[in-house]
Amino acid sequence: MEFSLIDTIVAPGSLSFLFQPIVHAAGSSYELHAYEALTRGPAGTNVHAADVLFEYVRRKQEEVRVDRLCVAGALRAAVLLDPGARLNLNVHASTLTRDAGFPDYVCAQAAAAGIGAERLVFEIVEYAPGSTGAPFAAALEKLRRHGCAIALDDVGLGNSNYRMILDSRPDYYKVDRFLADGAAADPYRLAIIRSLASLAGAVGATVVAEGVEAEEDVAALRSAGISLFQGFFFGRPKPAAEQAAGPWMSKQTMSEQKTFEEA
Amino acid sequence: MRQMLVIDDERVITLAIKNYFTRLGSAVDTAAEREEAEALLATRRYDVVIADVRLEGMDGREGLDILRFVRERCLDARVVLMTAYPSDSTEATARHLGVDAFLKKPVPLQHMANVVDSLLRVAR
Repeated sequence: MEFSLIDTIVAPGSLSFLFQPIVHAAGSSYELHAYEALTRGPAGTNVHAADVLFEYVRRKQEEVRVDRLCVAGALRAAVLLDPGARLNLNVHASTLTRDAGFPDYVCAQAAAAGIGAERLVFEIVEYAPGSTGAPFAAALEKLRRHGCAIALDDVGLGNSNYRMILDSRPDYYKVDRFLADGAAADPYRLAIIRSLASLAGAVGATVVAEGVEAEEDVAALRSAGISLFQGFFFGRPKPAAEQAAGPWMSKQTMSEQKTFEEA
Repeated sequence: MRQMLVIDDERVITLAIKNYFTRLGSAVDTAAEREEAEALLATRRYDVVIADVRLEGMDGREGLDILRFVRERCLDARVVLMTAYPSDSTEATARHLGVDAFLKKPVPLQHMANVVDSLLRVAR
């Protein structure tokens, strides 16, 4: 084949980035905690949708090249976002294993964009048993030395299991929408989430409930010990410029604004 | 609506099949590479998959890989393979893997539609 879809994906300007808020429940109000960067593939192709894009990239074994492009592109786009919010970036476990230069590369890209490494949270996706080991642990250690946090994506699904929790010691457990959506009406879902919140709390980590779309689920999840939420109920993925226009504000930005108003 | 995936590295062929079946009321995705097709099959649901046996060069038998992918994952899709270079061994392998129809190119679109209709009429 003369021209592969992967060439289209890695061409300059092919990828675009949306950002979705992750909010923190604080008493009766909510404040912005982070944005997750979400990649979209080239418009008008099968890989515009993220799930098809990354399935394709993994089958082509191009995770390292595409992860680097995604992270660099997302960081450039994220300069418009509230600087008080963290920035969640997805990375394949295989990239961390194969690409020893990844931690230094992304932190250099962040510095070039004026984003401190301590704002970054790396969401590990698609852990495959046996794919990790010493290089994976070394990459996580390096990211942590830079000040970055680690999140484990899709906890409760597929390969994001207890072994991966042990391997990655995440700061955030991202609980898949499969568990969070409909939790209010399902005691089983709620019991699993409560157990994950308890597990995370015991090791100083925090659970993020993904795919939250209904107010009753938010209330149920809060009663189960969840304080970080992501989903359509709180905000859809949008370009950085639209997210920057509101309505969410980080605690830091809120307090700065308050100080400014008081002055 | 019937969901179809058409896989061929000759875009003029996928476009012709897509246009024909779209006019008949199907929703048709197309792919030119094995990996692209597998990414779609892993994330979307299809009633019918039509694939050329050769996607990458004269020796390719990627269509058989796609058939194997569908069968191994127990996806509920009818698989039609087509080839301009039929051989007994390729057809035997396709039959062994559970192909639903094996057609020699060029395939008149009306004939392809008849084959697809007959496959979908038979319950699995």
